[in-house]
Amino acid sequence: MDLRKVKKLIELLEQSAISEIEIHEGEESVRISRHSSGATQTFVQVPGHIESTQTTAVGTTVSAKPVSEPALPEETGHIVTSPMVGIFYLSPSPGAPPFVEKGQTVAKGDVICIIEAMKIMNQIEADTSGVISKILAENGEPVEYGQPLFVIS
Amino acid sequence: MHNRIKLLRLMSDGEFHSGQVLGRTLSISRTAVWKIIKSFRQYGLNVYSIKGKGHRLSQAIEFIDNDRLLSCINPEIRRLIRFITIHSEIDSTNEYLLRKSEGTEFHGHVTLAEFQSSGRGRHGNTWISPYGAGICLSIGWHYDPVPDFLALLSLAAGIAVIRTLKEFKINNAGLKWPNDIIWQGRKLGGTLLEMRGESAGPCNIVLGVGVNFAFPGGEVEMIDQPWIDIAGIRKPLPSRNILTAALISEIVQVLADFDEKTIPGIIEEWRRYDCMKGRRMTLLLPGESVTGQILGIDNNGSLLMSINNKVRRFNSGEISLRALQ
Repeated sequence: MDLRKVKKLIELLEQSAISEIEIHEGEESVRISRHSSGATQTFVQVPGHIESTQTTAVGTTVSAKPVSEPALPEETGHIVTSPMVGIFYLSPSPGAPPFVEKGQTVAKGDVICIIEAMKIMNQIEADTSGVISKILAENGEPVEYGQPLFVIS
Repeated sequence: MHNRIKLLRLMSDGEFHSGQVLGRTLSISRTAVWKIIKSFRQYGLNVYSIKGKGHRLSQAIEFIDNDRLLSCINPEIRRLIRFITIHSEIDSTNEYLLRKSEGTEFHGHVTLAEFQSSGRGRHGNTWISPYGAGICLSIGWHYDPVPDFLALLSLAAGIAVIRTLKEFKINNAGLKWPNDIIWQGRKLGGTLLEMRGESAGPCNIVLGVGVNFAFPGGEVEMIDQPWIDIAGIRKPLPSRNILTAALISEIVQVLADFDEKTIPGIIEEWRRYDCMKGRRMTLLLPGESVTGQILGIDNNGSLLMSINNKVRRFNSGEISLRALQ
């Protein structure tokens, strides 16, 4: 898995109330969780390459809270990331209503955005069903490979 | 609705037909004939009506014919085509195939339309083509897995169109990044790739091509940039079926051959057809536009421009032809 993607995920986790994210992509999976110890831990797993498992601890300001404080509400979110470098579009054409809005329920396979590069319009489908709880990119903004676009919970 | 198509076919020779005879043939009244003829305007067609002579289209229409088309596609390519669907009218040939992308009739499906009611270009730009006056064609192709260098298919699509035009002795058409077909600063055709799928694994690509074939005389409303059609370049006008068949053959060939090994050839051939290199142009991006000198493409197919003496690389945006005027 692309390290940049992992980095983005960590940043995302830090900015959100989500305590744990797990993403599967083909044979690879990554689980990032924020433990009560106050650190964000990242596990990158590549099946068959166990020796490459890394553990990185990143201290965050968000988590530097007294342990006595009630735990953050358990929120699991599925992150839809960009499969390519390109321009992110939330609607099929300028002025048209967006494919999805925050709070909207989507089914697996629904088109939720378009990413365009080299005049290839890539209609991105929701790869899971749920509610769009966050839209993380701006319409018309360039996005990177692996950049988180939506959280579906 | 059905009568509209029947009437168009009866009048497709571009000759005068009396309203009375047309009505009798279709078993409808002369008034009904007149009503239908007036509705042809929605298709972007012009009709001349002269008292005592009747009605004629401003030009003949050669309808796309399934058998004629197939007979003009070479057998090797024909084997790769699994379905051909010809529509009189559809929203968009690309959309038609995208709707089929989940089913079993996607891969190798060639679809054509005499008229698209919502033909489209890049990100919601409309593609205007009067009834029977253009070539509106889309092909569905399945790749498993997604080729990493898929972006290059966008360049290859433009190359396929240029190759076809060369077969018909149109040698001075060129490409505007990434795949617009330009003839002397005017747009002759365009291609649009759309895909649907998850981020990894298999993907379904729809490659759509629009070529201006023979537009009715006079201005075509709603086209907001300089354009040209085949009829304006090549006389006598080639057969629409034969040209379409050649176009299908070239595109299917490109789709079938596309892999890592063909990339250097695609880049090299694209550079030969580059008709914007060295020119000062404006690139339209969402929310901004940049002006500079077009330097060409890099080895990944991205556009290179010199802006304020700095080289910048783009993988999105549209070079405006309007600025040429």
